[in-house]
Amino acid sequence: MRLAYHRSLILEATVWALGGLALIALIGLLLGHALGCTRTDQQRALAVATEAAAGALPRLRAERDAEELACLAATPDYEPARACVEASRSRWAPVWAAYDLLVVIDSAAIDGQIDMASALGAYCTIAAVAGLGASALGACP
Amino acid sequence: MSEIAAILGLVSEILQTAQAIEQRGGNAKAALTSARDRLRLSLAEVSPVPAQVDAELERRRNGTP
Repeated sequence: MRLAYHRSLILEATVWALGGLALIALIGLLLGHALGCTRTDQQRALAVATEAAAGALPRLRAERDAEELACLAATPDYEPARACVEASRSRWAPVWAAYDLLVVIDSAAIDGQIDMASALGAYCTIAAVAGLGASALGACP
Repeated sequence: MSEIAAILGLVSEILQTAQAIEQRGGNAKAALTSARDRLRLSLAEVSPVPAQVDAELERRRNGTP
């Protein structure tokens, strides 16, 4: 009788302990799920923005080429044409620098050197500064 | 005993859900990596300056027809 009582107590304690552990794991999972979902969503948003930035490159390249060719068409002389082309290249330099930075941000986010929210924020800011039409990137406000 | 079985079932379900979350995160990271690689390739294809413009400027500078 006494042995059965002790067994029952041990069983009950085991059930409570396992139940407690499961509950702790469940709470941890819910928290992890919330944080993980946010992180995953931001990662996807950054991927979408990156795709959009890459998609804009051919148009930018065509605009850049057209601008330089227009410099040549505007005058047959060397010096004014050279000055025009140089001025155009100076205007475009920040855009290419911004693109290089976008790759750096992506890489830092992939390697976990910066958190996803910061990466997305920096991405959208740089895209806007470079005139890439950040809102058109899909993930930026 | 049925309580223990229920708890073990719950633990198993928790582990499966955690694995699914991990998988989802892995997919998002793979998508970002692939997008970054495509952007890098596209950037490499955009030459720093149009070669024909430089060639034409050079021609004008030398005064060659």
